[in-house]
Amino acid sequence: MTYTDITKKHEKKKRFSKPREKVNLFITKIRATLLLIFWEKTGLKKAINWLKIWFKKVLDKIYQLYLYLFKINSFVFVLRILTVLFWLAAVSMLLLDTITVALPIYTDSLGTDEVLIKALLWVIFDLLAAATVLYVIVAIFVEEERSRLPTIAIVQIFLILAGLLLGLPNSEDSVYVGFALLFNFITIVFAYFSFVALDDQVKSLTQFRKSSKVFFRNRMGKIGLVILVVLVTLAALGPSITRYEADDMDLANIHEGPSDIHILGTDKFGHDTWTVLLDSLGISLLVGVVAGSLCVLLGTTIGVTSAYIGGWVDTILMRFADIVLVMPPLPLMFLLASLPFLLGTIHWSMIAIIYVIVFWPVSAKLIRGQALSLKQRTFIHSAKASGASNRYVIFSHLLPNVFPLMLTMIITSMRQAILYEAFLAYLGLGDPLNNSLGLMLQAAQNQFALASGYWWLIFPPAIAIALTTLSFAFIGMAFDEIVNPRLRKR
Amino acid sequence: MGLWKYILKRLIFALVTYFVAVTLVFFIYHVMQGDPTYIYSGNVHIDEDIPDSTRERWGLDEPLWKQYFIFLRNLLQGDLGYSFFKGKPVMEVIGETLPWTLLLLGSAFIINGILGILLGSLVAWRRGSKVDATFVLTYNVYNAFPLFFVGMLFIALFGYYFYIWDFPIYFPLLGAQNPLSYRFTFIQQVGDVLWHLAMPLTVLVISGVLGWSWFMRGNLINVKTEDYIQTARAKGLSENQILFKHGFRNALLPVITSIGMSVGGLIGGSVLIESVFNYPGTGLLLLNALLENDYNLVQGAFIIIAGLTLLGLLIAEILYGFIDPRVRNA
Amino acid sequence: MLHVIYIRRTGSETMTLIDKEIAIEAKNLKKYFPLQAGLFASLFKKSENKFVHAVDDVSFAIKKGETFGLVGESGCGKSTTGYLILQIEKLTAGSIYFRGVDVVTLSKEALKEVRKDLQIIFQNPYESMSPRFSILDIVAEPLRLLNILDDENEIMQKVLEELTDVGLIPAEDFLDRFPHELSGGQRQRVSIARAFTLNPTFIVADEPVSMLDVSIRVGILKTMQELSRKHGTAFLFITHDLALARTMCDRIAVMYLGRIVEQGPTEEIIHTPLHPYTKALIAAVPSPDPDARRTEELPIIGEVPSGIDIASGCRFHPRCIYAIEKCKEIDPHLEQVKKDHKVACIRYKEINEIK
Repeated sequence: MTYTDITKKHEKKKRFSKPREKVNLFITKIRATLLLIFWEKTGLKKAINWLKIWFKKVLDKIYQLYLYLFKINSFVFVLRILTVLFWLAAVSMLLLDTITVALPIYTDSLGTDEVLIKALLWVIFDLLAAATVLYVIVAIFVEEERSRLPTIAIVQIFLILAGLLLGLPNSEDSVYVGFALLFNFITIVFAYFSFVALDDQVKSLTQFRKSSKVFFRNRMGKIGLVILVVLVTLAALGPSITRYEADDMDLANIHEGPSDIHILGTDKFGHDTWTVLLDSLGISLLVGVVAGSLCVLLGTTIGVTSAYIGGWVDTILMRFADIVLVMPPLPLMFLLASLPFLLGTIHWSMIAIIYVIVFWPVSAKLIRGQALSLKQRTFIHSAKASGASNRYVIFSHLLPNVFPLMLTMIITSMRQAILYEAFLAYLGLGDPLNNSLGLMLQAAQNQFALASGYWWLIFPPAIAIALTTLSFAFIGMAFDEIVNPRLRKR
Repeated sequence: MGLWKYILKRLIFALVTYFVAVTLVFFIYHVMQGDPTYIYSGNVHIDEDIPDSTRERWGLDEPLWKQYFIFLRNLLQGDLGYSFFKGKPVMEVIGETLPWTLLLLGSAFIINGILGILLGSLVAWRRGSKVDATFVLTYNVYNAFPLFFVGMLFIALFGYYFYIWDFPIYFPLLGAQNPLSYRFTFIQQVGDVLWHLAMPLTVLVISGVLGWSWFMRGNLINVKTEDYIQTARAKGLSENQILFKHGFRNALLPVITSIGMSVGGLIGGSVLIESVFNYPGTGLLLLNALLENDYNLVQGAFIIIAGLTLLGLLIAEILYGFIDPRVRNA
Repeated sequence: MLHVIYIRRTGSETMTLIDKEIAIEAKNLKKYFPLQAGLFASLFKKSENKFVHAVDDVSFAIKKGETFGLVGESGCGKSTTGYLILQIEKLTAGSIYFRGVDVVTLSKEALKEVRKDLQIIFQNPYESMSPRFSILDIVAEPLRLLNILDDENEIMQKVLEELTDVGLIPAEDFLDRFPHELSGGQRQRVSIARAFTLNPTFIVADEPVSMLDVSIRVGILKTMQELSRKHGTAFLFITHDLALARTMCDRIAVMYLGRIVEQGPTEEIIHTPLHPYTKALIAAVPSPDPDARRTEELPIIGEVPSGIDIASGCRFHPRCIYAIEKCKEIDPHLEQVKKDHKVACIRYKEINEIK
């Protein structure tokens, strides 16, 4: 609307009050000017209209969701409830982190500038994470945004990386942020399957239902999912559901077998094995999830870039990947773990980064292959013929089609990362300050647990590792059947 | 492209990769590690001015590029420097451990390959049967446990408890040889070595065979749905003929490619196994050197291990070039 | 758009044309694909770069509302020509005049404006749609990408209209389906709907029915004809099937190894082919008459050679039964024979006994 339009509009209203026409006209003109300046030029009108539309859309969607919930089968319902619960958990974790960790440091900081800056960075990091978490709920409920869920997942993983590089999680309390992002990541995956995939197809016989049928007909997939949910819940609750803290030492009961006081006995320092186990499980899962997903996401980014750009970029990236790929992984990890800036203070996040450095080429090569074959498909040509930008092609055509493969690989990669963390910890190259399952096994070995008959020191962590990796493997296999229909039994 | 050109190409790539790996190791230890003399001197608590003389002796006062060229020149002459802790040249220290690693790796590699491929095809061809289900479960459960934990169990059970319980057979707890083996006859010595090899090899081989047959199984299942298998069936070939004439050969090709890739993983596994069983191989040497900050030894051991991996890869690639003419043109 | 008058040169003659008659004109299109030399090969050898001459100096003009056929064996560069016109592939050289403007020189933004009038239908309906897009999204993609309609309801309305037009009835049922739930014919109808959503003035149809069962072809072709009549759309109809080209096209150009060898009105080409290659193509079409016997061998030698090492002189001479020494030296250009009938052969007069 232009200035004259507005003036005319207001003129019409006041046409009948002739005596004071001039005054009125003057007032209208001023109003119009003001309106133009404050309402239209500032973009306030646009913003408010936009908000109105979105609010309406959100309400619509909530109503539609309500309708859906009673239309579809029970497991999707459960999945959706879980999605929302995990989202709430993610939000509360972030709140907890901001309130109990970041803000106190900031407000109480009598320390150096360094502490102040770090705390400030932390708050910013929290806010950014919160923004992505909040966006997830928008993306779930607003249809146009849904296809962006994978993108949000990627952004989030990069956030985790940023947090790690800033050294924020060096404090023990930063586990909150880790869990917040972990929960949120689970939310995204669940949401993708329960809302996005389903919403598109809810009216016809759905691809998703087929997929979910394949997934849930596969008994292994079901078992894996149940085990994983139990393990994640246990790890998230952590020592808060046990009687002791992880570093409590019950010196009266050393090397005690399982009893009423200590469910899984104690080690030679009187640590309660059950408590330590839960604590370790959290760290191991965190390493697995962070390292596994970061690795595949980095691989995907590089793979898609390489395939899409092609030419010498492709050649250089893939030669580099080849070079990393042919080095023996475990010795290479040793070498990286022994670097001085890591040595001494190996934090679990460093192990995650080392894992990413060593294993990104695997996923990069696979994703590149997939992206290359997609690039040849004519729907990409056809989008380009309609004037699609590169960004559009990558985000609307390439990534969504690569996503299932990516998900399978993330799961496989997480499983592998958990094992490699255990290897490094066992060989004495792990994070010595945080408990982890590998570290528990190493400690047990140092106490000659097997030979002395302290079975409660060695079997619980080993079984925990086995259950975790097994659940990932089972879920991965079930996903594999969805992605690769040839593997399905007929 | 001819076969020789292909081989030449792979050879050049392997050499370039090896060069990059060697350079990487050198710079990691010379740029990032700071001054290695301090690690050394810090460990033995000596006067502060001594590092200067040590630096001179080790040529660390030279500019970095010069050190790099000296390092490369020495490497070409087979000289990997001097181990601080062992007090011997690195080459000599590695020379003592390398035969054991090669013994472990080589035997594991051969057994893995043969048994893995056979088991994999058996299981894939009986898809959906009880054998298959058992295999899938075994594979997943065995691989769910970390390799070193399986090793620990083996030691405790077959080494320690068998001895305690007075079983007629029990296996040695650690090492590759009886310390007194020099008194044995040759046959006895061979038997002693094999006896010590049995447990580590078994742990490594079970995981390897399962992994290979898993891969083979996946390939064969994919091949089974191909049209030419249906054609073969339509021609009236028996199931066994189909398996060996059509399915097996085509499923084998990608497995052979992955031989090269599996060398890296196998070496990783052998490092774990060597450290659990205290088997005096190069992997254990690398690990101990790392924990002792014996940086020359770490560098040397990594260079050797990376060389082994690359060699394995190169052999597999050349083999593949012989078998499948298509890759020569890729 | 402006009624731009521009100068068009053919050889030495100059003539002026008003763009009102012509929908699109391609001039001297060239596309050379560089042969990928290996990293090591390029390091060790200093060889001259080799190219695949996919499209080599192709010119034609398509009138408004006309269906122009591009016929040739597979690998002769017909599909590439289509891609070049839509700027999906980058041109090596040449220009494409649309509404009197050279499309090649346009900026990205201006090109977007032009794209509203240019669309494409692909050969393989199983590959031309993203499996993750619903039919609504597929058909609406051009509308959204080119910002033609903003309101979702309007978009939906437009898509419904188009789907009904191509015979997917009831259209509502198809909106939320996914490509893998449709049959090949239905998918190709979706492709057509998508191409027509913007009411383009020109559509490239890249072998639109070659992947379909013969039984469905007629329906699809009829739909295309109806729609093009309704909207006055010009077609570049790419096909290897001469019989199909005969039923669909007003004019035909025959391509061989990246060149147009003969061009003219359909019936004239079919009945009085002048170029030896066209003759061979026509002789290869099976006759529906059961009594007719092929009395002689096909008038052609060998197989289509690769586009890398192209023969000197006339590129058809190694396969031509009329070839003489001179053919190895002279590279023939399109010559006007009659009104609108051109041929690229130095011996066409002798072969066809034309004075």
